[in-house]
Amino acid sequence: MTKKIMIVDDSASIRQVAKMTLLAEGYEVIDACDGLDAINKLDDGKINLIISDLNMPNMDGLSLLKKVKEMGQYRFTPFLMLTTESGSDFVSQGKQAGAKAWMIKPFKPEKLINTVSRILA
Amino acid sequence: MQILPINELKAIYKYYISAAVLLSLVLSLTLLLSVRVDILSLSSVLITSALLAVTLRQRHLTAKVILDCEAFASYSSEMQEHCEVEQHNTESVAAILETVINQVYSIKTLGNDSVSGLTLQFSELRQALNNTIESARGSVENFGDDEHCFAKHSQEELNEVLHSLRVALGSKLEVVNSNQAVSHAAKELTEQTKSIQKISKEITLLSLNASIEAARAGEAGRGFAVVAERVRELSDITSEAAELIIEKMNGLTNAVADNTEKLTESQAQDVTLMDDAELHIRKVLNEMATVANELTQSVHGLDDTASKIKANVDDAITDFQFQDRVSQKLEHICKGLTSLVSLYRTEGEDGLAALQQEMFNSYTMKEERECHVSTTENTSQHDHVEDEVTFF
Repeated sequence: MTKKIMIVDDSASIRQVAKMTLLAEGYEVIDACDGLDAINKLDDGKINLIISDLNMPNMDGLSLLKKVKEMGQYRFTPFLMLTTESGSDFVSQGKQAGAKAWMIKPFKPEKLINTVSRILA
Repeated sequence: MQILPINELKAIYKYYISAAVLLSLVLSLTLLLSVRVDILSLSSVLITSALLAVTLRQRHLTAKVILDCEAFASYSSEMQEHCEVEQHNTESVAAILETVINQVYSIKTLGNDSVSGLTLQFSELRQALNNTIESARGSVENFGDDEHCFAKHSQEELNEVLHSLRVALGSKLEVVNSNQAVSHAAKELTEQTKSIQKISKEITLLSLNASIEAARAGEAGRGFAVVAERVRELSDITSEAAELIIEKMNGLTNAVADNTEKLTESQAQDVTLMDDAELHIRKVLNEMATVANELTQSVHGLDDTASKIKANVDDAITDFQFQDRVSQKLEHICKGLTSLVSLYRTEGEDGLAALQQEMFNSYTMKEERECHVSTTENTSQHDHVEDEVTFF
């Protein structure tokens, strides 16, 4: 069964690159431009992985992560932070909030594929 | 700063001092003219003189104060002009900064749109390259080293056709051999028929002798004469049948021989044709193999080139992501400038230190923080993770 991945980023070019990379690997991909948009699109409970930026308008990545963990059907959905933020205190916050991994942008397509495969394995 | 109250104060002060001097002079003059010298008058004169002295001194001081007031008014006027200029300059700098902010936002938007479009185009290019590589690899498998490759498969098919033709030629040779056997058997049969014909002639001769002997025997030999006659007739029939058989067998032998000769010639031609055909087919197969080999090499080269281009496109797509970092940095610069404008208008230089810290706190990238620390006296420490991916 095809795995469904949501990409949340306010940068259209990042969304485009991530979407293209994952589509080529056979994943089904939906995208959102910020945390609020992502919450509005999380309605069918069939997302296998959420990949999110940290700094976004309306709702940031950490707030989205915490919100998602409060939603029953997405409580165990893995969450990958994909951000330019490399501060170790932010990384710790991500870990405490329940993220599976923290990936620094910019990313190589192969690196993203390997990370996603490892999380979904 | 208001200058008018100082001017008014100066005028009022001048008025009162002038009035006091005038009053003291009038009082002194009146007392001197009254020629009444008593203690009270003397005291009044002394007081008036003192008052006059004080008044004169005060007048001197007043003149000095007036001069100071005028200097202060002049300074105040200069300061007001200076403040107006400063205020004007502040507004100008703020307006320039706002213009810069707008320009940076405009550049950021333009950059984002352009890079987003480029990313989309490169993504499509990458997909097209992937398809090309897959197609090229499929072609390599068809023409290349695979067991079921096109060239090998064609060679095997043509070899099977050649083998079938050889088998057909072998069958034709068997027919020739059978014909030769038939011809040989027909000759043997003709010889045997000739022997029968010879025996038949001897039987005819014997039957004639028997008829003669039966005639000599008279009435007793009449029956034997009938038998001898019947034997002669049968012998003649046999001889005629043998003659007919020999004639037919000769025709058959000739026909078989003719057929065999034609088959032999045909087979020789077939063998020559087969050899020519095999030669041509093998030549064509070799040419096909050469072309397939060259094609395979070309496709391998194309595959390698496409793979290199794909790697370059991947690198370019990765590099495009730096626009996201640039965009974020521009956003931080704009926010810092906006705060600077606000602080410049409200708090002056006092808020700059707080602004620097606010700017530092808004950064997300290691190089932003390092750049900030290297260009300011900020000593804030901020640890960063070094790995591209951190799994929890």
